[in-house]
Amino acid sequence: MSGALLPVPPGNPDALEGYASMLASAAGQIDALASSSVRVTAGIKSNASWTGSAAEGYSAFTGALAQTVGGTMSHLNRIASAVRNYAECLRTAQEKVAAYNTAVEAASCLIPAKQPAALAALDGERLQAEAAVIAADTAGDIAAQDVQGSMTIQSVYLQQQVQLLDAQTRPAPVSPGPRAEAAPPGWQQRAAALARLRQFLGGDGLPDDPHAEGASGTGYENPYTDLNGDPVP
Amino acid sequence: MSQGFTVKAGALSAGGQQVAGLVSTLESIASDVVQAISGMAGSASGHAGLASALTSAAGNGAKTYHDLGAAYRYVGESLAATASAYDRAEQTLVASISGIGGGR
Repeated sequence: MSGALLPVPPGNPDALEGYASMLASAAGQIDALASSSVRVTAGIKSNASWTGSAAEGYSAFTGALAQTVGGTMSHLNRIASAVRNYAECLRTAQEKVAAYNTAVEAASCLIPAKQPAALAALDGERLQAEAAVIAADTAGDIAAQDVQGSMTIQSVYLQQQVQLLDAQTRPAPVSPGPRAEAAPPGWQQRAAALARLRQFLGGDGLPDDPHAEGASGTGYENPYTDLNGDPVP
Repeated sequence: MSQGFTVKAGALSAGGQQVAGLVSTLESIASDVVQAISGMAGSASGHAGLASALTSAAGNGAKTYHDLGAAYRYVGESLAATASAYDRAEQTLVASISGIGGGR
C-alpha cells in the first residue's frame, strides 16, 4: 500500500499530434512538389524543342532531383508516425497517473481509520499507471531511434552528395555554338551524382524514376550514361 | 534527331521562371517541416532523448531542403544561361549570314 502521488510525465500530447499532422501535411505537399517538378521540367524541355545530350543531361538531373525531393516524404511520414505513437502513449500515461493521483487524494480525505483500506484498493491502479509511464518512455525511445535513423540518411548522405556536386561542377567553358549540346556545364555530372543519391535512397520505397528508359508518363527514353559510361539508373 | 536551331530559347528562359516557382514552393514546405519538427521537440520535454533527436532532425531537415533548393536554383539559372547561349549563337549566325549576303 502506498499513498504517495505519482509524478505526471511531462510533455504535451495534443501539441505533438498537432505537429505530427502538420508534418504529414508537409509530406503530402512534398509529394505534390516532386510530381509538379517532373511535369514542369519535362514541359520546359518539350516546349523549347530542346534535344541532344545537354537536354538529356538536364532530364536526368531534374528527374533525379524530383525523385530525391519525393524521397524525403517517407522520412517525414516516419517521423510523424513515430511522434504520434509516442503522443498516444504519453496521453495514456498522463491520464492514468492523473486518475490514480485523484483517487489517492480522495482517499486521503477519508477518516484515518478508513484510509489504509482505501489506499490498498488503489494498488492495482497504481501499477497500471506505473506501467503506462514505462510504456510511454519506451515509445519515446523507439520514436527517438526512428527520428535519428531517418534524418541521418537525409543529412549525412545529402551533405556528401552536395559536396560531390560542387566538386564535380567546377566552371568549364560554355559551348559557344548553336548546337544542341550548347549548355552550361555540369548537367551530366550532377545527374550522375544525384543518381547515386537516388540509388542510396532507392531501397526506401521511392517512386520509379519518371525519366527512366521505358517509364510511363513522359515517353522519354534516357540514353544517358554517367562519367564511367554506365547507364544512369 | 533535330539539333540546334529548333530550340526555342524563349521557352528555356521562361522555364527558369517556372523553376523559380518550384523553389518558392520548396522553401515554404521546408519552413513548415522545420517548424513542425521544432515544435515536436518542444512538446516532447518528457523524453530527453526524443527531444534531442527531434532538435537535430529539425536542423538536418533545414539543411537538406536548403541543399535541394540550391539544386533547383542551379536548374533555373542554367536554363537561363542555356537560353542566352542559344540566343548569342543565333545572333552570331545571323550576323554571319548577313555578312555573306553583303559580300555578294
